[in-house]
Amino acid sequence: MGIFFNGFFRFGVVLSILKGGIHMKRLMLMILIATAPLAARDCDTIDDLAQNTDALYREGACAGDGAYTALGLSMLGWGAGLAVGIGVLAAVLHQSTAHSH
Amino acid sequence: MLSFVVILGLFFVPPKDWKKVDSEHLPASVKSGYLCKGEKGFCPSLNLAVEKVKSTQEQYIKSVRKIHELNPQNRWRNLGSFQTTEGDAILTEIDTKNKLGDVRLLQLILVKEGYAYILTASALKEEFGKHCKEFQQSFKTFQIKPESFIVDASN
Repeated sequence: MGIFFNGFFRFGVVLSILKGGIHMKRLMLMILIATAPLAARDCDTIDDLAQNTDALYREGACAGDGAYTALGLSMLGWGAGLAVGIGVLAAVLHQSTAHSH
Repeated sequence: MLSFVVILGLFFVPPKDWKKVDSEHLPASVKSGYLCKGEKGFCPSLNLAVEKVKSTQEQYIKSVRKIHELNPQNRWRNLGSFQTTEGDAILTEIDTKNKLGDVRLLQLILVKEGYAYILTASALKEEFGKHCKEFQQSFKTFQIKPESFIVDASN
């Protein structure tokens, strides 16, 4: 329960930060999607953080931060967008992990 | 009919102590990625993406510039030619902004034999100087090596 709540809260914070004015329904859906696989394990190391970024990136949580949404699925876009998105997401996850300890 | 498939081994040496991103979780075009802890939040990263292309390196760079400049917050610069073991690549720099601050990207782009290889490094602009040397060292190590051959003997 503790881990679940921790994961839920963490991703709620992350998604709120990353997506800002998202429609509530979509936000809740994304939180549920993002929380489910992560509730079972805690993000203690940067490896864990790195492993969990892609699902959120694909969901669009990082796409806005990457500022490369205009690229759509361009493979070039993945490289550049990923570099920015993964950096932001890993940082936010790392901060929220650090705060929870 | 026999057919041969060459699996290309794409290779570069990341900076020391950087953590590899689990490749299962990367988009298909991104072949490998590495992260390190940032001093001020944003985590510097390095990744290698591959795209099948029909254009020349020069045309490709023009398209890249166009795409990056679609976002008025981006500033794109061609830093010139960069020698790798696979040939002369083009080094470009993109400055962009996000919620954690100003971010600088270095992209090394090499178009060779119908493929564009894109090495992207990123860090906060204020921390970029600290990582710049290791990014360039990693870029220099980029190689494409035929790793293995698969013989498909099925009809």
